[in-house]
Amino acid sequence: MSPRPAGTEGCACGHDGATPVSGPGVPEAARAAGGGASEPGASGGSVPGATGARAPVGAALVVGGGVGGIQAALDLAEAGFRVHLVEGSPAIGGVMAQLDKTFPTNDCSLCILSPKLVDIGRHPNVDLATNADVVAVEGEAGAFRVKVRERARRVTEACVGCGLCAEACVLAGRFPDDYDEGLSRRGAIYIPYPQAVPMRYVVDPERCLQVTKGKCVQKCVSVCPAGAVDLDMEDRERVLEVGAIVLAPGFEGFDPRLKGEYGYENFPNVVTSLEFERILSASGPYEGHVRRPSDGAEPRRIAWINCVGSRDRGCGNEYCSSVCCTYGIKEAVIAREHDPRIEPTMFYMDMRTFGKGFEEYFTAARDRHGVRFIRSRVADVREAPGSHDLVVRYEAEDGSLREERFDMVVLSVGLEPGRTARDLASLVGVETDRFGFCVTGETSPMETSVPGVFVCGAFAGPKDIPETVIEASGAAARAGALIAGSRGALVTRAEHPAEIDVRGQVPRVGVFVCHCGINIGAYVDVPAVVEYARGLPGVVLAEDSLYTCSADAQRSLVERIREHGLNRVIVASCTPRTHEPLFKETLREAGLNPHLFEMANIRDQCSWVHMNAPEEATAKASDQVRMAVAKALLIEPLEEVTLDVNPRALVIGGGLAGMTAALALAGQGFPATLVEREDRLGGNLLHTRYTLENDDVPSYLAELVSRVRGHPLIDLRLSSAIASIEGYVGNFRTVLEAAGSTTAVEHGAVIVATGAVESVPDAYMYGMDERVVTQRQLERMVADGEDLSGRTVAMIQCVGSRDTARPYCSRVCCIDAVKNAVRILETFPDARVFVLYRDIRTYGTREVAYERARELGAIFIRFDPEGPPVVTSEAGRLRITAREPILGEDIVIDADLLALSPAIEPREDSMALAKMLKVPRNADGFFLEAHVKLRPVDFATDGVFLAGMAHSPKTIDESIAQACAAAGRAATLLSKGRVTVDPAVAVVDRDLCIGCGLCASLCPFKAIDISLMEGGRKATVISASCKGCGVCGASCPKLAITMRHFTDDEIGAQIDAFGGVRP
Amino acid sequence: MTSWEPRILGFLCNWCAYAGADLAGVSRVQYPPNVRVIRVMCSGRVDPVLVLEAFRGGADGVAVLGCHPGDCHYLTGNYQAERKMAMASRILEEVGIEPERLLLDWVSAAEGQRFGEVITCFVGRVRALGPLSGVPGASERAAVGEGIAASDRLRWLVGKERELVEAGNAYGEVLDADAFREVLWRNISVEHFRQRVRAELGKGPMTVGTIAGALDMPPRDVLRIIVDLEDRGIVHSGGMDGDSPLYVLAGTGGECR
Repeated sequence: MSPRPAGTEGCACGHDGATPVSGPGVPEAARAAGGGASEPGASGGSVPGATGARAPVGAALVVGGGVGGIQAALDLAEAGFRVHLVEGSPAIGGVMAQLDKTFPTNDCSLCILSPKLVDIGRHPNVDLATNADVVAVEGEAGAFRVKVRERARRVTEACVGCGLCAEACVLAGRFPDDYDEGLSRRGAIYIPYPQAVPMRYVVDPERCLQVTKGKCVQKCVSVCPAGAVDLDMEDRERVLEVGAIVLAPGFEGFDPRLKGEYGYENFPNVVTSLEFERILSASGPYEGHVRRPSDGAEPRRIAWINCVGSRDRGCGNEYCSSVCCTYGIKEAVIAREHDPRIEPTMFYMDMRTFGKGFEEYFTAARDRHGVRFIRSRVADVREAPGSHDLVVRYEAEDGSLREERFDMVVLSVGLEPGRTARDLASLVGVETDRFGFCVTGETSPMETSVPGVFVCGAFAGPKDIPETVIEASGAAARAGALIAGSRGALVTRAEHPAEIDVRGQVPRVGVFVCHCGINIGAYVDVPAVVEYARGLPGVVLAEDSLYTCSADAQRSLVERIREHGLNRVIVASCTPRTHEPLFKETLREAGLNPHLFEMANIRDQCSWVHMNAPEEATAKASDQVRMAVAKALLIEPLEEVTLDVNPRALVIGGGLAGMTAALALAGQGFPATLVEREDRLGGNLLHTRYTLENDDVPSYLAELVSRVRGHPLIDLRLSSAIASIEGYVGNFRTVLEAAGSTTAVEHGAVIVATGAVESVPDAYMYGMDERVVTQRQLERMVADGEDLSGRTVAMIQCVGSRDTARPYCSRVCCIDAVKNAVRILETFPDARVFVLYRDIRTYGTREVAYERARELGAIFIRFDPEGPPVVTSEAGRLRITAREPILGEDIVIDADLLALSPAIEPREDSMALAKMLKVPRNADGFFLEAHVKLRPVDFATDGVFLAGMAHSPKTIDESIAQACAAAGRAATLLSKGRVTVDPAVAVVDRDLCIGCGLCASLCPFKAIDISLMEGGRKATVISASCKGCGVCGASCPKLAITMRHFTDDEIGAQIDAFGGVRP
Repeated sequence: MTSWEPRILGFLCNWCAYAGADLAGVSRVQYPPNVRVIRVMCSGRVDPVLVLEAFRGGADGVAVLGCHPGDCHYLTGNYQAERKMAMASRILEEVGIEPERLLLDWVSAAEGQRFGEVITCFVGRVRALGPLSGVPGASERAAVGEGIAASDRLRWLVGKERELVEAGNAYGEVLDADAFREVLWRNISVEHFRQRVRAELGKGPMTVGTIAGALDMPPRDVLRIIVDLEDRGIVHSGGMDGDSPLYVLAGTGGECR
């Protein structure tokens, strides 16, 4: 393999896309479909784009089974490639599976992850290898040979996950449990966690007596009902042929023992943030009761110490770990939710809540949830004599040293590339930086230094879940572009058992009630609801489970359906908005029509909102179950409708994100129409001259523009506006207006990349004194060679951000200020730079630039929003007076130039586009994705995707990553050629219909046709256009129309059940 | 529970209100546990018949929650909901049930907090009204209302409201909104009479005079309704009572399901 420096030639968007690199050393096996270890029958799909040159291998390797690896694997598999997912530990899920909740929505982490785990486990085109390591990689882009060693698990696939072996193990309870961060104990045979995928126990080879000493009574073997324990199993090696590789090894938490002053090693009540996640978790060591390790007592006063192993030269980690501020806030808020008597205190340096919705999350924690914030670096933690209480010593802002006593201390440990990641990097030969993070380029955020090897997630720098998911989809798109020529070559089609015809059968309803850990179980008496459900008419089976969405629960659901001949299934758990697709898929596996399913929402709309009223919550849950059962008795199987998908995508916005998305789509072979309202491409990038990494952004932009203009698959429409968008997933029709004339474009997907704008400051004398400029104007002056020698430049941050009008953080301004400060001071060492800020938010490795700016002499002065700087012009001098918040003293700066960092705000016309596309925006006016954590580039509306600053303010690399991700997500749709639409549409009873046409006049989608037929004029529903709103049915004068799955009778049954008093 | 607690049925649209209710959960917004939820795809799906059915089934209050005007996932469904619930509310008034027991409001997917507030406020309102069973014959009243809501004339009128008020009728006459409301309200009253006549006839064959006496209505109005019902095949004459013809309800079916 020939390494190349990242960020020089690399480009994020389908450069050398469909043409694979081929050359000597390409293994023979790689040429043929189904070569190597990819035995499953190849379905012989078409190989577009494979002209002359050897086709790449239509398979990809994804290393790392955390949320990033999972997303990359699913996207690649959905886009028509075979995927080998290799995970080092015995189960996938990564750190996200250990988390209790996720910020800023406080979603239950495992609950939202679980459906994806299950998807991986059952995807026909994902080959999962756990307990496995990549041991050798050879070949090159398009044709890699990867040797994978699966360490002997010593439990075969026959394992049913019953756990008898673990109970029987003579060493049960002896060893620290990794999943619980050592806070609980396990034996030598164990399951990583209750919802693990695969649901297979594993023998710890370093602990098992039989393996290590060759002598044990081997109770695990004798007790196993499936005969699955095989202590003689040996390691197995396989060679995989893949065309592309995605690295997603994730991170490890900083080892707090290296910061001896915090006493982690010696004081039992000092825990890491990850340990605290386990303490909060219902499946954790204390079953969700907040206790401290030393004595199991319920702590009242808990301190969080931020930046442990981050922003710390002493331990070699100068970078900011990006996520700790927000996860710390989350832990504090959730701890108080568990036990309102808890008084959380957070010690922090800068509050770095820069993500979408994070600032609001922080202010809510401070103002509404009783979290106390102290800006300080903690000196040390000691144990109070005679107890395991802790004394935190810290320097207060006024410089005085203070002491405070706490019951418990949580160390917010930073993120580091783990040993596995480092080993992997050296094995594959990708370049890493001095911290061990994989080197990527600002304009090529998913490219490693090795062609054909891509990266996503925290291995490429500390980041949170949505950014990891974005990069994962982006990396999948890049990998997919490389092997697009062999799309479909190695895949097998999903097969479901033939559907059982249940029409005419007496309803046999199964009710499955979920504890959701303690999310439901702590407030709703789940066993009572189960008992109640058993007595309902039609119910033949009612059961509870800890997590109904887990893989083993899904498997058991299939078994129950078969054993009991169930023909209607009710799950009482969370919300159908997130989990209905999962359960419907399970019904399919059991041979049932997926629509024979109904959910009762007893978590989001019950246990979580009636936490103080357990009896009432239980009654409500029972009522909702009764109503669901009543409906279930009437529901009928629905036949799915499939439609062709137009392979073209419409990309709205010709800025960085839009251009990148268009190129990424074109690179995968999909035509794209790129619409820009201005007469030139570039958007906000036109105003960027340099970045921390790139001296010459205009050249990059020029190259990007020329590639867009030159690409045969990109249809560029400048000076064009969107007049209308009609249609639905796979079949949109958009009318474009340019120079007074209109043209229509038909397409299958939409990517919204309309960007955002810099607001115009209305403070600090902007517009009144020409020496007051914006950062962007300053950047242009510096780039154009303005002489700032000996001059004083002041900067004011958060101008219009983080205030009442715009409560969000604009994310990029601190980075821009630091960038300009560094550039000025490097060019003019005798210049003086003052930065007036509230919190410096140079997250990730950008922290290094902040350090650099300070080294160069930039002076950073903090101000409080209550006492902002005052700018005056006195005797020709521009004077900035800042109130230093602690000492209360005024600092006066006489500046030659003042640069303001204005807020980024959504475009005014985003509302009109949102209406046309029928997609939502958030309270700030940015477009709102389908799910903040796990669907960051999808809209809830099928076929519509989101990228760039239209989503929220972001940097160049982040916009590129999201644009590639949006293109990749669109590719999973466009590559299929067909899409299944929801059959829950309106149906007309022709006997009752009098052909009055009221329905047709009311239908917003023109989905009803009135025509003459036998019996006179009658209405007909065009199923593909019908969106299932039901307005026609609710309006029909003759009550002749009803909605499938929401029929009058079904709703009537729910109403009757609502009225029926509990038996 | 020792004291009376209002039982409220909520119809929540899938895209906004239901999502907002989920967000309330995610945000742990606490609100009173009095509401049971039926998820519908759009608030425009909520047929006034279903609302009346809920009251007949014992709901002390019914909340229909949809997307904010302009935000409807289906473009105009919530406008339809607004018109339909205006009719439902008028029908409640007509049959003697406090229209305040019906709530139509908008909650977006991002308004978890607001969802809690809307529910808390509505529960308080219904609590102040007291149990629906406090209204004499509430269930029967709701049943009559259900019949009114199923009337094809009224449904046609409501369905055409926007067109008639905004675009005009076949003759190009644009109706002023107040005038339209007046027509609708009058028709609701007429339909109410019709329902009561039918209900009376349900007891057995009767003369116009007997019905008029029982309902305390002018015999002329009753006759008009009987003739109309006869035209629609709902009622037919069946023998004589002295000089007066007896009228009989034709089987079941007809307008009322």
